[in-house]
Amino acid sequence: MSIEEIKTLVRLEKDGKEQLREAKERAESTIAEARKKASKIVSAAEDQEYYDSLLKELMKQTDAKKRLMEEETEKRIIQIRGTAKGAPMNDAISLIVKRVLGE
Amino acid sequence: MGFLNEMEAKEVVEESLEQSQKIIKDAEQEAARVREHKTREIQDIFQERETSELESAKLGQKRKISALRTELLEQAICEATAKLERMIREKSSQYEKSLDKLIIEAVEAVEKAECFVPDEDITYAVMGDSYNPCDVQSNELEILANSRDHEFLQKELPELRKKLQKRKGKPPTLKLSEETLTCLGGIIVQDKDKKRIFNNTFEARLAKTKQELGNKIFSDL
Repeated sequence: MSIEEIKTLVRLEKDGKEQLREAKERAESTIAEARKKASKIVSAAEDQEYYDSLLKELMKQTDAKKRLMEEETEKRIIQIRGTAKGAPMNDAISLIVKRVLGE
Repeated sequence: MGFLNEMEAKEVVEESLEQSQKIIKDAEQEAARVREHKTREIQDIFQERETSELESAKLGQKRKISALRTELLEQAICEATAKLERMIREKSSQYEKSLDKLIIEAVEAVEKAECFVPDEDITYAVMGDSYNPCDVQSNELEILANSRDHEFLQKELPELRKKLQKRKGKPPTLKLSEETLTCLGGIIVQDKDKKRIFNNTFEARLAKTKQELGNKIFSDL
């Protein structure tokens, strides 16, 4: 083997090692990046603020249901007041008078 | 040698890519599991809160309706009282007939010792501490009434005695007490010893009526 050939082999060996070292570095960096990304993914899923806001949104539906119930009750109160003004009130008064008089 | 290093470098890179893909995939699976768990947890909290809040709201609405019915009953009682006052003021025959009925009812209740004093304003004890239903009870009963009704009742007494004599058993000795009541109308009947007392004043009857009618009145509206 000539000196030139030996030199070439040494250079190739050196280049190869360099290439491998770079590849290992790149691999480590890739994995580190992946770990970072994975951590972000899990953290995002664990974000309590998101679930709090979700609950808040759901509770808005409950508030709407409650408002609807209140409106219905108010309507019912107006309806009862209106109906009671007539015959039911007169009947109640007569019934009370009769009971008090012992009739 | 260089070729081998190149191959190994390629393998290292490929392995790192595979590994990082796996890390991401695992993280996504973990995130999905966390999301599912947290979402279920939120749904449970929501269900619990919603049920509690809606139940509480329902109860509040029921209370409002019930308060309205009570208000209407109070209004009816108030108007009935005004009607009774007018009746008394005008000395209507309906009121005078009612006094007869109320006296007979009170006499019968005292005889059976079914006494009650529902009106707190009239401070009469139902029965004294010494009362024992097995004791031989006095048959002397007296009527207490508003001074306004004394004249009418004095005249009515013989008729009342007759009515009471028509019943089975020994009729009671009935007299009008000199003691007067401050009441809207009606009477109180008590025995001589004031052990058996039946409050049949309008106030007592109004209180009893109010208690009996309670939520029944206006409930069908």
